[in-house]
Amino acid sequence: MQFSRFAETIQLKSNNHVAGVTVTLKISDCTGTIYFTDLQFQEGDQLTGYTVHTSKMLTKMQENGQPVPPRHYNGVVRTAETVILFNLGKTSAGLDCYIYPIQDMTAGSIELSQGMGAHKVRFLDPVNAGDELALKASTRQCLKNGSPTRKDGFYQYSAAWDSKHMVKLEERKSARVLFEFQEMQEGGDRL
Amino acid sequence: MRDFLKGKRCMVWSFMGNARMYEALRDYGDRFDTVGIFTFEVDATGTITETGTSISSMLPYIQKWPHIKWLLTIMNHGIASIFSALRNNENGAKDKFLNEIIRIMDKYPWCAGVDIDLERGGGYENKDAANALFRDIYNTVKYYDSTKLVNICLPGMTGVQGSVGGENWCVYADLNDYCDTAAIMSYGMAWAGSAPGPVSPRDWLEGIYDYAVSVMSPDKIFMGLPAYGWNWRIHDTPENLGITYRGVSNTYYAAKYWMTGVYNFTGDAPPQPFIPIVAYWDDYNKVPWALPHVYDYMEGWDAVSWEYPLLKGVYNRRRYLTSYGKEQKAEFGTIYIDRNGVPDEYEGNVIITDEMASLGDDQASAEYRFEITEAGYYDIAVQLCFPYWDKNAIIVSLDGNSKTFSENRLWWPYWRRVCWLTLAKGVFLQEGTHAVSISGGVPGVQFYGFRVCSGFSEYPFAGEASFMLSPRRFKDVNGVMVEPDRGFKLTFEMLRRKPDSALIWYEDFRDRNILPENYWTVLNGEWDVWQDPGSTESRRYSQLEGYGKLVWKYDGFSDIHIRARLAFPQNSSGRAGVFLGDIFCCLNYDTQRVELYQGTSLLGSYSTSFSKTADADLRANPNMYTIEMRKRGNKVRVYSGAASSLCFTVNVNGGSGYAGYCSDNRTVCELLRLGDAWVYEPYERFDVELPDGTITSFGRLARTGVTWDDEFQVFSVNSDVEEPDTRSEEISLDYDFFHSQLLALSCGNDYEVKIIPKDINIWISRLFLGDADGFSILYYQDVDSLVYWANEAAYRWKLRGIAIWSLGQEDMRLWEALPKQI
Repeated sequence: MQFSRFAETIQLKSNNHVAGVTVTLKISDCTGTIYFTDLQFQEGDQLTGYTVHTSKMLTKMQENGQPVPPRHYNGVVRTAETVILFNLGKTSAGLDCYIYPIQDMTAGSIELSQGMGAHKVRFLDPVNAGDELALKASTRQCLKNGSPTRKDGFYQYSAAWDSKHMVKLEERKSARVLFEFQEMQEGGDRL
Repeated sequence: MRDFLKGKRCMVWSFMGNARMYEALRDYGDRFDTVGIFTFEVDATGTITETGTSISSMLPYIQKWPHIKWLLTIMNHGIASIFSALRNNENGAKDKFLNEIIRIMDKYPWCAGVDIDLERGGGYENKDAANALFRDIYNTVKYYDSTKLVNICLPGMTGVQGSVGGENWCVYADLNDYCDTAAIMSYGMAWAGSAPGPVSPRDWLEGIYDYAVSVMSPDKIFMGLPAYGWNWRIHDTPENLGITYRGVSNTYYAAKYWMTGVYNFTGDAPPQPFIPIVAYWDDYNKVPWALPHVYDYMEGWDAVSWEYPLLKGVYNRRRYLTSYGKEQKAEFGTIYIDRNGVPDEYEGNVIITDEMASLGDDQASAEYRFEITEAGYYDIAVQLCFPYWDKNAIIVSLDGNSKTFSENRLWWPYWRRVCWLTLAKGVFLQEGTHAVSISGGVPGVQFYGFRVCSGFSEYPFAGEASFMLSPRRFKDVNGVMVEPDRGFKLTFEMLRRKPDSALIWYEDFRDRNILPENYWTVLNGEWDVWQDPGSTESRRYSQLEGYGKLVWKYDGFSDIHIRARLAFPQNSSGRAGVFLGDIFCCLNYDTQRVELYQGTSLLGSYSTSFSKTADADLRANPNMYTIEMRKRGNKVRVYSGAASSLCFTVNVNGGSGYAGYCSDNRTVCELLRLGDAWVYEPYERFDVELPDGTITSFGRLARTGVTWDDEFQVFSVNSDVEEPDTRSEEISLDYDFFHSQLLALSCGNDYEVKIIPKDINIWISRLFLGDADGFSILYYQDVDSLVYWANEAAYRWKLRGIAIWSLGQEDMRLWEALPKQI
């Protein structure tokens, strides 16, 4: 079964306000069932379409009808690495990044970015060994040991498939890293 | 009309036989141009049997995708005797094979042709017979039906005789006419038994395809790419693990399971935790890799500190530490008296500078007085320099008790260098004035003074490097912070090398003070040194050039190992090489032989080939050839080539005196190396000081028939044998892995570990701290990797397309990224 959309421009008298509209459905010379589902009024004489709500467009990755739990990956980075996260979802997902420096690092020395270096973020405050630096797309927070800290750049996201992310630290220093994200899938098509 | 698939054709092989292979055949047949049905195996009689993928299982896809060129792949599973039987038509094997090819094409008339996959064809000497075999196959197929196709699978070659696996029978240019298409199997550089690395590294691919397109029709060539990777276990030796090789092959999906924490090294079950880990992207080789169950890792340069003579080096983007020569390390305890070489009194011909005294003849002497304020036991060390092999003795006395210091070992590493030696150990000195004096010996020895101290010791030192291990807990698949069940192991990735003769002199002509007359002399001819005027390096690339005889200024050589690397310029000819007394070991351009002469008598020769270098290339790109000889007593061994291959052995009479470089006409020489004939210096051992303070020794090979010098870590062969005969273990030219014992480390703490090389020329490459239950280095192929090289095949080398080994191992999403072939 396929739904069809019909549009009609209602001509108004220019000097009168519209107080109400009555829509009457009429069928003639046919059998079967017609479903009348939605009614939309728009300003102007052109139909611009209809988009599902964002909560329907992007949903948590489903398996057996249930959302999959958030996924995470551990690692160690020394100096700089491009890390790969296996994002098994069908589309991009916001990424929470946690960095645990093994050594002290100076302000501005830690950077994250996507793929080949786009969508970069730089942490503006110095960190000490053992700190927790958190950049959370899920809550849009940039935290050091739980308190807000400064950054310059963007929250990160994980692309579907083999999601690549550059992590840059101070030369010859290292950090434990942890990435967490909720895998996502598309929930509905544009109509 | 534009061919939108030009360069984008895709060949696959049906080898895996797994569900994913059939799924790809079913769902993505529109992405395949050619499929090699991996079913037909040939034996040494030429008989073809059906062994692999069953034809019946392929028929549904053959019917579904009529556009695909379905080839019958005929393989030899790497058995050299089968290839040679076919090649040489042993007992009619080739004749039978050709008939068998027709038989199977008759049996499966829907086939588009055959795919010939013969491996282990041997060396270059087999090329003519191999060419004839491929010619006969091609002609047989075309005679049978000219529309049938012949694809041939070729080993990766970077030039004529440019195989890394010994498949030098294969000459691309010769085979170009005997195929419709050729799939170059440019995978397998890294394999189960090699050091971990990309299966198809960039440098190798570039070498192969730069060469291939220069001698073959690019339109015929499929670039062979791997869909698989390897997981090399690096937490223990293969012997201890009960395996032959470290590496286990893995598909993309196996790699995914490692990354997502599904697999572990304790049978995919506890006690080792299940940890999801990141992979890393090697952007040079365009390949992903990972370190399952590794909690910390570092490269050589990541040491928190290192001490000279350890130096930084880079090779293939790997940043290692190594030392090229040992330094003397001297320790003194408390120093009570520290005197330089300027004496209080002297007699006769004594040369005195600010720091040093040197006796001009055997009548001269010098005295140094010092005061002891408290009676007791002391060590006394003297600082000397023996300037040359014939300036090698001096007598030093303490309060009239004399001790002779002398040295006769040509390879002794401290020649021409200031070093500390023991005059007295634990000697009792009364309070008051004492005296040290020098006399006798050989004029010219330099005396730089002495120290009276509480405890003197000295030893040769190749440096040391300290690394900080920082294990931290990881979050497991259940969100619990975990660490290894039993503890950690530390694995060292090191490069060892084969021993060389104990070094007497290394001359690359790069010093600023070029060939000083103290050390060098010209017996005849004219010699000069060219040094690259455009170089900004502290030691510029240089070449000795000239003719005649240039020698070390010493005529006492006898049993030595001497090597030169030389080139024949455009207008040169005749002989050039190394000599000892009247023994001349040379390359003779006119005869194209390695030759050995004593006087005017030719004692032996070995045919080879070498060419001249055009003047335009002489400085930047010369054709350099290595020539060397080792003389022991009355026997001389002659070697040549980059691998120092033994060419022949001959007997001589006598043979001593000056040694050096000799050339009939003008040649250039970039290296002249002198070593001891009997003594070898190994490049293999290092010690490690672990966090608990224990020191463990690694890397030393067991040898028989040798005598060790423990002080300098060199050994002499007890009889006239080649060095490899003293050991049963091979020395890999690849990285080796060494493993610590179980380490009781706690996550959250930092631990220092020290690597102390006991030999020079070993590379400290990487350290891996991992779970004692198992950890690894894993390489795999992802879509990005394969798509990158597919694009290089199409647009850079303009090949026919790619051939993926093998269907069913790849990430299935790859097919969404490759073009439809229909």
